[in-house]
Amino acid sequence: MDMGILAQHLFNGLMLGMVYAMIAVGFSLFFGVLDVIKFSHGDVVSVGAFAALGGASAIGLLVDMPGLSLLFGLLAAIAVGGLAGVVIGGTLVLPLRNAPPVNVLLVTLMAGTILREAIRLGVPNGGNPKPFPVLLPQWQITAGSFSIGFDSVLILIAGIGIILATHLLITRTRIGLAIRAVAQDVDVARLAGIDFRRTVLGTFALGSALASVAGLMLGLYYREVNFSMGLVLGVIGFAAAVVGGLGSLLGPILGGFLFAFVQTLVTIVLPTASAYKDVVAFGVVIALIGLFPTGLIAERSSERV
Amino acid sequence: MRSTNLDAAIATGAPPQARSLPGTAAAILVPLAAFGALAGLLQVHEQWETGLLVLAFLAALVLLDRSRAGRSLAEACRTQSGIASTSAVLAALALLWTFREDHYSLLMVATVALYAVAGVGLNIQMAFGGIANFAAAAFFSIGAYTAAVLAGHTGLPHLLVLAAGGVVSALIGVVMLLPVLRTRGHYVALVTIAFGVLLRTLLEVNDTFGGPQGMKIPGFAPFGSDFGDVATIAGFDVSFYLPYALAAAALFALAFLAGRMLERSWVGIAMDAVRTDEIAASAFGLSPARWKATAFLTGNVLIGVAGALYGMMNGFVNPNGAGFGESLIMLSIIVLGGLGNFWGAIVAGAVIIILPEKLQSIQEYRLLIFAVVVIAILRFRPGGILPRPLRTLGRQQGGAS
Amino acid sequence: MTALLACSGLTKRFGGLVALDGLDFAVAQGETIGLVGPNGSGKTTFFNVLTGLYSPTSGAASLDAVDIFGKSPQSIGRAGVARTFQRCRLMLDQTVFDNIALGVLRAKPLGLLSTLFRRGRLRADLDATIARAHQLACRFNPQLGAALFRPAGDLTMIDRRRVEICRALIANPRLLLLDEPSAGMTPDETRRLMDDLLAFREEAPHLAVVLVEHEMDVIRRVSDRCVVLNFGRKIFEGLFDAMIEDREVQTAYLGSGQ
Ligand SMILES: Nc1ncnc2c1ncn2[C@@H]1O[C@H](COP(=O)(O)OP(=O)(O)O)[C@@H](O)[C@H]1O
Ligand SMILES: [Mg+2]
Repeated sequence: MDMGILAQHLFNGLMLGMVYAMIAVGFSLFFGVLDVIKFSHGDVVSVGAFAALGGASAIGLLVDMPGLSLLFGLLAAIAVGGLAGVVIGGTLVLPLRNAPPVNVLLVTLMAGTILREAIRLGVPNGGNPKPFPVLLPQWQITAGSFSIGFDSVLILIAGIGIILATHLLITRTRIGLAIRAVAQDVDVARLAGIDFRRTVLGTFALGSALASVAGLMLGLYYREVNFSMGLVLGVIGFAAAVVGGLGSLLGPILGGFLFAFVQTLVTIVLPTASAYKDVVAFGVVIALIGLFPTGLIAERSSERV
Repeated sequence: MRSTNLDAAIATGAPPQARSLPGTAAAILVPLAAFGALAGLLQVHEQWETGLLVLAFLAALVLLDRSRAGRSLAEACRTQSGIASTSAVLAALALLWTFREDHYSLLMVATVALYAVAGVGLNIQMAFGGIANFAAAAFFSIGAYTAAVLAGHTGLPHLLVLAAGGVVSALIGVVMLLPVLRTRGHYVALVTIAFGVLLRTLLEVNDTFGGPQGMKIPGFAPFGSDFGDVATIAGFDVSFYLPYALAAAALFALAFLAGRMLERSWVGIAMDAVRTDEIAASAFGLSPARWKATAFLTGNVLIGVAGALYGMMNGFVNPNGAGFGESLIMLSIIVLGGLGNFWGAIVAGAVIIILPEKLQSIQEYRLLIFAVVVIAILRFRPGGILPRPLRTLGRQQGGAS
Repeated sequence: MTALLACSGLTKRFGGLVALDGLDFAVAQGETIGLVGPNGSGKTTFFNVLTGLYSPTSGAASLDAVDIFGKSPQSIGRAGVARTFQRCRLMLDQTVFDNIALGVLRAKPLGLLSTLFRRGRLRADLDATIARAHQLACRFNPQLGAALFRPAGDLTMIDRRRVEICRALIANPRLLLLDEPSAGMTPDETRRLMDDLLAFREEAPHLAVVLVEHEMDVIRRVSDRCVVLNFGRKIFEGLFDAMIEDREVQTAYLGSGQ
């Protein structure tokens, strides 16, 4: 295969892996603090993308400054996505904390449906794909037959930066300490004076903001957003988090890149059968869970008798 | 009266039985009323009528739950389940006969019944075995695809085709057994979600089974007579959907009976034990793997059989039916109906399948309303519309002495 | 006197932690042994290894000359060992009967086909087991017998313990392991539960019991012999009076009790 196309595929794979990782981290964080799966998380990606679209378009109508539009789009994505996460977490997930897990799963899936339908019905012509404005410089970087947009490189770098920043936030700051304490042992954390509710809601805000920004990045990269883009991303993010190890931070990142790697590998090795990339990727997911039942980076020790 | 009852109860270990005449009347009337409401739902055309019916349904639910009279009605149906079931069967037959010429209503009823058969299977997996199956629609479709291949391309008798739908669905389930048995809770949910997405994509991109268009399926023709050709029964004009609805109802009755028998036996206790506390169960010599596998595969058989008949009724099957959204609907039906309550699947099936059809003018908002209703029920009534009753056994069972 | 249960050199490691360190342990038929030791000394681990929930690292164990070392919980249960748990492990949403029946489930016909098609036999078997469970429950508390088809979650703490004990007894075990049955109960409830236990001992003279308990009065009252564990090692074995005099036992308790 042509080296240029190969590099193109690899770059695309990295980009996807980064997006998956950003989504998967949220699943893992929520599971860490509350032992629940919040399945509306995928749809928060779409919410973020549309909030960014709205914010950026609104500024675009006033002044023609792509940088300012991007900034506003980013702020809108973080604010709206974070809010969606906090509202769903506070009204649906926290109260159902002691209900059977499948109830939480279903309730949050339905919350995701509400988000999705709200976009479809609330945004003018929301049922169709929407073009996303071009907000980054359009320079091309060319090396032989490999050509890549400067904007794509920027997005990738920003994404990796955000993932690193999240990692630092969790491991190095007081907020991160609170989150880790709650994840370790709720009662001990409470005794240590940590406000449980605030920490949990903060975690929801953080994870959801991450997913939202991932939505913005997808918009920038593909120059198109659509109301149902989050559904599959939610499933993939969940898969990545579980394969990597729910409750850990590195696990979901690893899982996200792994999933994208398998998809990319199929596209490269079997170009004629690239439609099978999701079949193979989910097959690998099932196999990996069979081999490593608690994820690649194992969660906690087994239950005491 | 009460004290002698109590003495007898202490002597046998069984609670006092209320087998009074009013109780019997209640056990007869409650199912009649329920099927009456279903007939009403099928009959109405105006939006406001539907709305009224929904309100009446909610009111009845609140009354059954919150008022003394309501609770004793519910109790009567539980203690005299034999009488209540007989009444339900007769009411169902009467309903089908009333709508005998109405294609659309019969199709609805048959669909609800077949989803309820799958619901029994899903209940065995989830409510008994504790395995969250988010790929029910995928296994349902496997049943339908099996029917498409066997009924369309071989001369296998159609009753065997139905059975094959269940067997193939269970066999494909075997592939997933290892990851399902080695994991728990959310991890199992992911395994099944991944399988569902995988299967649907595979059916779509691979042309062996018709690709995105899917496959045609011949009509159900047990004993050589095609249901599609039925136009009269005993001199009455009937829709060809009537035999399908009857077959679906019969299938539900069988699934219900089998599920009930399993629940009220050592097997039921074993599955409940393994689900609630794997460690205690294994300390007392039960093998969690064995019981999870049993629940998963038995459930798949029922789901596959239901899917096979559903496919033959519809005449075609395509990958859309195997999707995650469809699986969610099936799961919602049993969780809404009440995990572990087989009647619940019928009630919730009627709400989730028929109600939206009656609300055509707000078609746009269907999914939204569906989501809100599911959330409301799970939030305020976590046990579902008809929560699973405690297990009754031995002398207490169905009034048998 | 030949031992019913005989363990030698029983060892269980969790990674670097030696939870059970070369334990020799013997119980004779009809004997009640009080097993004591500070928290974390390995008492529960000993039960878990004996019943097959944890696989032992090394050693030997047999019940009446039948090897039970490292065997599956099934075969150990069949050999005649039954237990209760430190943290009450009942199915609270299920009926009291369901919980007690779990104790005999492994001896029941559990095939799907026989369940579906041999209803007569099943019904007779159910009725017989219900009668037996009722009789057992009534021996502890007549009201418990009457509550056989109530959810176990409705019961008081002491009745839940009784259900756990009934569950262990219904399969007629030869060795009963009780892990801190008084945990979470008032002194009065503890006393009543021990009365029950002593009364039951009278009726089943061959049953051997190992009782883990922190309350020394209880140990004095019910046990024939005492064994003390510390850091997974046996530091004392003998009569109660000798135990409370023993220097090593005293330091073990004071050392961790501070
Ligand atoms: N499943 C396990 N994994 C790791 N360590 C364990 C496990 N179970 C028990 N332990 C350790 O073994 C030691 C003995 O515990 P345990 O038997 O519960 O003590 P006891 O019942 O006497 O209070 C403790 O240090 C405990 O932390
Ligand atoms: Mg202990």
